[in-house]
Amino acid sequence: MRILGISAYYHDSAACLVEDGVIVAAAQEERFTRKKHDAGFPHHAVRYCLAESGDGAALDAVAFYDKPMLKFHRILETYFSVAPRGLRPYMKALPLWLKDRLWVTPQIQDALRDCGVDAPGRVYFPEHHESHAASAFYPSPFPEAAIVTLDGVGEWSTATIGVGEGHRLRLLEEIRFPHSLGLLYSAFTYYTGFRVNSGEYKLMGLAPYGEPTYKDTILRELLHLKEDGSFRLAMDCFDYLSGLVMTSGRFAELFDGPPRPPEGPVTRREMDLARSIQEVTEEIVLRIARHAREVTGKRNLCLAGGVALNCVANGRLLREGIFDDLWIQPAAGDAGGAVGAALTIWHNAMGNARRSDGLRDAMQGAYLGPEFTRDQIKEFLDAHAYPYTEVPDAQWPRAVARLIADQHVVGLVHGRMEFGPRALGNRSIVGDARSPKMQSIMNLKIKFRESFRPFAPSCLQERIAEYFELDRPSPYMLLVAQVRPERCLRPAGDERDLDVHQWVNRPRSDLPAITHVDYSARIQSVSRETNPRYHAILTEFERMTGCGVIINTSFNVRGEPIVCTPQDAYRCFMRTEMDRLVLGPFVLNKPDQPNWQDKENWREVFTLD
Amino acid sequence: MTIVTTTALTPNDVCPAPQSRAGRPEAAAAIWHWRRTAGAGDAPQRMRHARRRAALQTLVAALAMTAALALRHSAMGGIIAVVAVVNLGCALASPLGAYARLQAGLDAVGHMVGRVLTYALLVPLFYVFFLGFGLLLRRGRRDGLQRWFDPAAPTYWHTRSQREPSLSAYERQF
Repeated sequence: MRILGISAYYHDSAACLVEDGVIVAAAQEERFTRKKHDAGFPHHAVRYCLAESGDGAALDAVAFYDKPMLKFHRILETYFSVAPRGLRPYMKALPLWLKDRLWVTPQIQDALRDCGVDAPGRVYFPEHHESHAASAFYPSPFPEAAIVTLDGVGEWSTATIGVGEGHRLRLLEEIRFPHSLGLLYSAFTYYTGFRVNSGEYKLMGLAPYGEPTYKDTILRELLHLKEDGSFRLAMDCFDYLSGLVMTSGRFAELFDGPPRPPEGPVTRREMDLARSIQEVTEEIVLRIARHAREVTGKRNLCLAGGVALNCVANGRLLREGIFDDLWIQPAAGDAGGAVGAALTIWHNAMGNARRSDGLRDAMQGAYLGPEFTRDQIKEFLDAHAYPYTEVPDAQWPRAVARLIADQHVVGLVHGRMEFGPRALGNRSIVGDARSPKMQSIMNLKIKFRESFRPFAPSCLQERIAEYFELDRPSPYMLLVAQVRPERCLRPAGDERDLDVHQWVNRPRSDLPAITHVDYSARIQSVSRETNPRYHAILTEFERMTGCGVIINTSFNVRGEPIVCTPQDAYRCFMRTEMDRLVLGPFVLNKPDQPNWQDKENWREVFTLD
Repeated sequence: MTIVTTTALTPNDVCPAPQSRAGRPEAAAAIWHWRRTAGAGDAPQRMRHARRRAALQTLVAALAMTAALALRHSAMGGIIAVVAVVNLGCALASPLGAYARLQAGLDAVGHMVGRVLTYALLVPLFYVFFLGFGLLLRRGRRDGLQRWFDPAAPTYWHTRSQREPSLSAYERQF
């Protein structure tokens, strides 16, 4: 049986194909359209998923990731509550709903016919948070678990606690709109000058630079938090019900002035706000987790929803030991809803059994996207006369490791593309984590992004405990842990007086490029079983240098979706100061390439996030 | 910082997932069209499509013109006829050039008319329906969004009603 899961029309559209309960393919639309967070119907992703299956274009069922009428009800109820205010969001949203979103079933069926599906099958609608919960529980290794979902808003729910047992999943409790941890975090994202639904991870990265000076104000003025983690927000501080921005004038009064303009200088206030909201978020997540443990009685926890991408909070949750173990859906945001929706129909609605061995998850390392063969890449390179060297398979890991060890910044494209917001070695830019200059080079010359942002390490799974204070794998880069103390260097003097650029560039461990200012790192463990080729590169690198860790950052520039095809990769390679590009077995050297004449003003092509 | 334990892992100790199977070359080919430059190759098809569309538009215009004349709006009938003839002429002479530009212009006009109509219909609806009923509901102290703090409440969690999952329940959009 073939079930197509779809998430669309809000942000991060995606498609996923599940065949007899197995995830065959999943991809986000943005990777194909090159439009970050693309919200349109995922035509390309659907075409890809169907082609990956190879069993023709017939479908038994289609699962959409939320219930549109419930969502519409919430929107109407909001207008009733705030009128006469709220005309602007009303005029923005209502025409869209009347024209498109109320007619989702025929829209999906028409769009699927455009994608070559002859008989689209019935369309089913799990709830938004049910889709999130299913994306967290069904692919997890746990036979039974508590489930927590946390995001901006679905239909009415903004957070849920559920329980999964075998193939059954039940949501037990919920917090309802407008009270939302995701929207609270997004309000601070907006207020500190970053883009909502996009810049939240920047706020998280900024937090270690600040002090929690506003934490008490947030807890006292912005929300009413109960012991069990449930809360309500003081809605007079927020403007997302009746306006087109997140925060109100009262919010600005509380936090010393107007929001930071986008691209304005990041000041001490933004750093302190980031730290404060991060600590509040962690506090709420911990309380919710304790409550979830209490009401479900389960020993393991599955997590999904946009807030589950807050890997600092995830790391804290793990360290607190409320649950024995934790599994987080790698595509925890709305894209992952496509996976959850399809699996909900297969397991929960159809009652099909679920296999879980307690050890291995079913996400296949999140390598669920397209893969390009040697011949396809060669044909492309030859057609454009791009010079390359082909490396035999047996020597490939050593050759790539050598490039990294020689201090080159390397674009790496091989194998199947990752599903979710993280590049996990198959669409990555990699470099030497031991280099004190690498963070600055990568931020300013390769990624063209803010200099305060840290890079993540890829580490041999069997070596994690030697480098980090973490006792378990973190295959999806969703856990933050400290670098081991014996590896850390403690700079003298108070660093808070330093300029951010100086601060970030001070080496603080023997892995300076991946050690954040608070000595933490966002870790990806690489296992031989999940990604043998990437693991082999790390193994060779360790053999050469004695270090089993490299930098891994997504293969894109600021505002651009992660590259998908070799063509995307070549374009990004030539637009930046990357040194080498590895496309499957081919290695491209920058100085050998023909002069790149970018006809577009390409930095304006991508909206900065 | 406290950590749970710190034990060395072996490669096959706790594995996150088995390796995914290799991607199919046909799937990659289905989404990677590097040979196709924008618009090239399918021009004849697009020309045919444009002319077919213009023929349909002419038909609709003819009906509209007939109706206008029948209702004695000869000036309106004349305008429709002129636009229809120019439109058809452009489609026949230059389907990807002049016709495309004319369509873009007509689309912009249509978009503007649609926008004006949207405001004309939806703004009164907002102030009559949503404000009117909203005020009534609020007078009855009904707040669908539960916006206020309730310090006396033991929790803000809402218990969800439990139903046996079924395909028919998932068919509903509510």
